[in-house]
Amino acid sequence: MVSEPEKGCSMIRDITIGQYYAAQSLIHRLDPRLKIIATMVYIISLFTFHDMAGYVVAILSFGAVVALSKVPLRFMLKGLKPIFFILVFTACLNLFATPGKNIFAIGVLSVTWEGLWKAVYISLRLIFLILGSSVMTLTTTPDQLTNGLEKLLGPLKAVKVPVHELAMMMSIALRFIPILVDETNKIMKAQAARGADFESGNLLQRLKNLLPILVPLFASSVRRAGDLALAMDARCYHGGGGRTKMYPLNYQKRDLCGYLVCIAYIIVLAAVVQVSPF
Amino acid sequence: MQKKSDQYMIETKDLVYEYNRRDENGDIAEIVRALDGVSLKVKKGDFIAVLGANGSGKSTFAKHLNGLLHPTEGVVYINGMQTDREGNVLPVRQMAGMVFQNPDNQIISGIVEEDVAFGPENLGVSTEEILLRVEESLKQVDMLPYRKHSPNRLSGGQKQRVAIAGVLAMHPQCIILDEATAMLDPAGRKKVLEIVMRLNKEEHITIILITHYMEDVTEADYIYVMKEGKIATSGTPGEVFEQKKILQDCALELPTATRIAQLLNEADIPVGDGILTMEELADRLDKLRG
Amino acid sequence: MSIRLENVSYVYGMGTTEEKYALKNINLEIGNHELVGIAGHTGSGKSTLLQLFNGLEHAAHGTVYYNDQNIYEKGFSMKELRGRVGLVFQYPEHQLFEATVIKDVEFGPANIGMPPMEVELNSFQALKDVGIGEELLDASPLTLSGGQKRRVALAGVLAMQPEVLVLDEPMAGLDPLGRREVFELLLKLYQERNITIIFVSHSMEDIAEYAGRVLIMNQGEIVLDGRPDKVFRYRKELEQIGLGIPQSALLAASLRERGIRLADGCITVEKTTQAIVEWYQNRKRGAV
Repeated sequence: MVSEPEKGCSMIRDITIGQYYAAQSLIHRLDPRLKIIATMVYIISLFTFHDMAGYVVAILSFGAVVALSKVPLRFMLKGLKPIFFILVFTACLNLFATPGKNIFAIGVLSVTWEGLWKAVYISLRLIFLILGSSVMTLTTTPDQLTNGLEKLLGPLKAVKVPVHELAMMMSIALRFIPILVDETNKIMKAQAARGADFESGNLLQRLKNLLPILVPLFASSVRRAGDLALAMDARCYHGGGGRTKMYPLNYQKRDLCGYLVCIAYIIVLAAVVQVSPF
Repeated sequence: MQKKSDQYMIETKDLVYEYNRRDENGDIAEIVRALDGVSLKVKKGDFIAVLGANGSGKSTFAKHLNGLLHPTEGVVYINGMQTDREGNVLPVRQMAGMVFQNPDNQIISGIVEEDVAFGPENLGVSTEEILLRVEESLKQVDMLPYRKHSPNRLSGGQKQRVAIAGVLAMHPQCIILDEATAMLDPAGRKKVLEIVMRLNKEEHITIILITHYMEDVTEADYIYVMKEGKIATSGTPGEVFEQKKILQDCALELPTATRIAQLLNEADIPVGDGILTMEELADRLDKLRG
Repeated sequence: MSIRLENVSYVYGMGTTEEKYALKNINLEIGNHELVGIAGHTGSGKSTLLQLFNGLEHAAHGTVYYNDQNIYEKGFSMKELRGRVGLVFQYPEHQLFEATVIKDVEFGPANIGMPPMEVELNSFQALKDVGIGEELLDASPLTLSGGQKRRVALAGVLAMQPEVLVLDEPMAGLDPLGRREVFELLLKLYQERNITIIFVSHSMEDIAEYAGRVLIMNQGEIVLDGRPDKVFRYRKELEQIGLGIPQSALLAASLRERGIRLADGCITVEKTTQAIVEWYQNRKRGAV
């Protein structure tokens, strides 16, 4: 029998792709191409300034988008959990390793004003880099994202880049990652039931212990790939030529406004950074 | 009434399929004859079952019906189109849709409605028409409330219903279910069969149900039993179920009602032949009281 | 041998907002040499229950005892438990990974620390028990048929010489002949050895036919527990939770509605046929 999606496993699913937060909001309705470009603009912009005023603009803009998206802030903050250690580590590194005016010292470690500022900036940059991209993944379904990418990269077809095939591969990968995560779990348990031990031994031993998981996992992936190829054939798939879309990407007025907002953001940011006294 | 039409939905003539089995070095170890002279005709609107144990060739046969495999010898016509003729591939696949065994491995998209749209998108159907078809198909399999859901959260039976909707959205005249109920629990199996039966009765879609559960096929118009790539026997369910010896050779198991009826007949309790369901058997026993 | 569960609960997503009970307050004892069938709707907690038996899953509340020993106690060897309670998962053939059949079967017994001599002997014997011939010992599992693969996987657990054999839907995906072969194999093992067998099945016919005791699960609870002929009297309750009773029992019920009363225990083809024959002969005698 096919096992039901049980709760224990669905948690893993949520981490991998269940990022999408279903809601009816302006941000959800925006064209994925706009969202991809806007996210890139936002992320790049974070690296263009080094003063407080810039951050104020970036944070306020972020706040406005979140408010419009109707996604609860805690969902955004969830995305920060995995990078928490990197965050603390880089902050500390900057805090202690930047030469400048001392505030205080603990043994050989001295904390400087410059270090403190730098730590704050770098942390903010990292945090908003993650948060900015979470807004995109939380408000756009994986399928929309691949659609958007396919359309954006469309011009590359002229230079023989298999854009449609890449997008199809990406969307199939997104569909199968949670299934394979589930499967890995199942195989691990089945081998554990035969007394397999994945935790002890030296590195070499541990790598060897992975074989009973990797071999069946690989076999199953090949099996699934074969099945899926047949199923796609049976449903008349024959590459990207002549395909239509249920939801073709068409820019609306709101998307135009979105692009304008993006440009406005760049201008405001540039202006504020120029005149800022800091 | 399409049911009375003279033209056949499916016609195969002396269908043979061979493939090479290779040994560990990649050399040809033997030539396997998976199908060996299968000839049959299926009328439009019929509900046909193909029964057989694992390895009997029934799945290989199914894959010929929508051009996933081409005959080594013989021919397959789908609605008059020869499947291995160039240019017929897509029309054949559109005409005769296929649902496979493993629910997880035939859903392509991460959202139910996008998956249902996959077939019509490939066929180049217009956007408005796709939207209509998706809604209609999901309604036909009672899955409309799940249109925005991820398939990962559905049960096996629900996933198979989505797969059926994906086929329906291509507007086929025939659906082939290749052991599509084998991995489902009884409740999921029942519901899928119910839907298939409804599509046959109400939409006059020709159904080819491939299975090894005899309980599933008591309502079929006609049954083919396969063994070692050949048709071992065929007939209405009543006719086929009486051929105990052949069914045993084919490693199939009769529905419980038929089995009990046959045992009773052997014990000189004359309940008669052709019993397929418990209700029929109970009625016959009731009559015996006189 | 005994497995005892006392007030056992199992929770998914402990500590999150999505906490959900997969098992609620289970009290259960399975003794020596029992043949237990478990049935329940998908998601009723069957699979979780099976994994509690060999310690793969850890109960949120309550205790699991093996031979009256608390398996959660410090110093209790889980590895040993895994060897004693052999668990065969669904579609176990998907877990084969070694280059040869015999090596794959040896994986389990070697892991639980059996001496090499015994590993070899037991693996050899286990393959013989499941009907895999000597000529296949060095074959790659990939070259076997579906039914053969399943039997090799089963041998992989049997070779650990478990006292309890736990199987999650051992017949899934097999054709009627394959199902019968697996069941006959289990029955033979049960009769020839002093082991307990616990299996999950969706088929009420299989449970009626083979099990000596049946557990019915619904929404994380054991709602019925007893001999199959007793449990299958609760037709309405079983249908309510989406399960139902064996086909033969349906016939008996349908006859009862028509005023034909058969002897008790009509849950298998054999018993029902016998009961109808008796009824018919009694009538004839009465009529004469």
